[in-house]
Amino acid sequence: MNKKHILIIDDEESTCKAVSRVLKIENFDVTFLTDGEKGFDFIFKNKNNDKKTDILITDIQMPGMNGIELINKLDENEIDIPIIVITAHYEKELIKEFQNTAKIKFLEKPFGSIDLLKIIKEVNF
Amino acid sequence: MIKNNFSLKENPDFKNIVEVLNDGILVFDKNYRIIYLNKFITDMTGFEKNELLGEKIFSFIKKKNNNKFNKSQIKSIIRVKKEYDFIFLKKNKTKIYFKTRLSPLFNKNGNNIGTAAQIKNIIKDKKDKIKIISKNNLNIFQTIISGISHDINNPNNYILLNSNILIKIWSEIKIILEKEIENKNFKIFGMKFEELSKSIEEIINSFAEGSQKINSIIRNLSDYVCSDEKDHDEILNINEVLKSVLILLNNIIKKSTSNFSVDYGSNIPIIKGNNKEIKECIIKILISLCEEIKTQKYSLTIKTIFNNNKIILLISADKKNNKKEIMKNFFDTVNEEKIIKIDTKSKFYESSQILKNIKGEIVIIPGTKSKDIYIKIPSI
Repeated sequence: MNKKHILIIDDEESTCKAVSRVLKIENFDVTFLTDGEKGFDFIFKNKNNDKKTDILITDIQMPGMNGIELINKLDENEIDIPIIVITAHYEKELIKEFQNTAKIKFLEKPFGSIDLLKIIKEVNF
Repeated sequence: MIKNNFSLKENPDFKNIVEVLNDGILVFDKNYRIIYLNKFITDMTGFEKNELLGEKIFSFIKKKNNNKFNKSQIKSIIRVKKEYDFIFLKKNKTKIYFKTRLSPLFNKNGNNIGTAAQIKNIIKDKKDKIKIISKNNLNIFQTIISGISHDINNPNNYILLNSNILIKIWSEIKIILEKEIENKNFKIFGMKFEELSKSIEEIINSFAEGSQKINSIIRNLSDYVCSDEKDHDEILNINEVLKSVLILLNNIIKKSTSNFSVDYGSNIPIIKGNNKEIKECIIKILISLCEEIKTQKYSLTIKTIFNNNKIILLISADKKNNKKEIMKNFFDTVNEEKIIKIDTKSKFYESSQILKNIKGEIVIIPGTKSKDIYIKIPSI
């Protein structure tokens, strides 16, 4: 069985690495990028090949294209993948508009490996 | 235009308009006797209309420096259309600060027949300005706190995640070491394998614990700073409000007393109010009390209880470390004279006003070697 491919987008490289480590231990195939724009290009370019993104984990606050803009761009381009948005506690107002979108789940920072794997399970069915 | 003005004066509604103005209007004749005052004046001073009408104006006013006016000073002032600051002596003998614009009144022949005074309450004006300034500062403060939260959250997040991974890795290493190394009597930093293994687990767990603690501080701080000021109907649990306050004030309390305890009462009904404002009341009281007890050896006790249909938060500073109990109908038995009244000068004035909005109150009962502050809030 093919490994599920998870793409992590966060401008904080150390967060990307820490999340990657947890997911690799759990046998996921992981790519991380530190920029929303590059993230979109990666998803778009690989949407039909074996590097296809099965789950996207993205931060909201990022320089350049932020998490919300990335989600909207994926939507405009009809790319439908489960998304886990990493948020801060004070961003609850910002995420209200996405609350009823089934494919989007929110993970509040700071999170431990148990929270991360629980939410992966939720979007990964 | 003239006709319009004339008809307005004759209109019976005209008097009503003056009566309900948000500024005070006070008219006195050429002998300085008050001949008219509107509702604003009676509301602000506490006098009834008939207690002021016919009385001489300088019996009630003082200069900014608290000195009384004499007749000639009043004379020279009222002839000129100008703005002055006065102190008005209220019925209850306290002072109120007025900004007054005086306009001399003349009859058809050009003779002075008295003076009209338009009056504003300076304190209210100043308070409004302070409110605007604090609101602006709050926005800056909110932005800074959000930024700091974000900056702390990121490293905190990878500390937590990495410690989770490290604990998993260590548990695997431990199994291998136990299997592969026959002689486990080796020592690292003077510790035997068993001791070392326990220490490593404790160290890694403390990373995760520290990270959770940082998270709790950041969460409470941003909740406090960024919460909605306008919503006065938030459903609140006083124990949760108190817990959040104590996280924010942990260090201040620790510095003030080595004997601190908190007792969260059970089955306490919910209250309605603004989360931030109620937290602010408790914070102000606690900071002020901590300042008072800092240099002396007082114990500080906080208790929440439901007593006589009121939710009571008791903050008690005591030199003898006495345990405070609140009996049913406690407040009915307290000698009124013992209670410190909260007036405009009190540092708890603003807090008491906030609580008043939700029908709550602050009661301060000082003892010889103790001080008890009760915050009473009705349940919903």
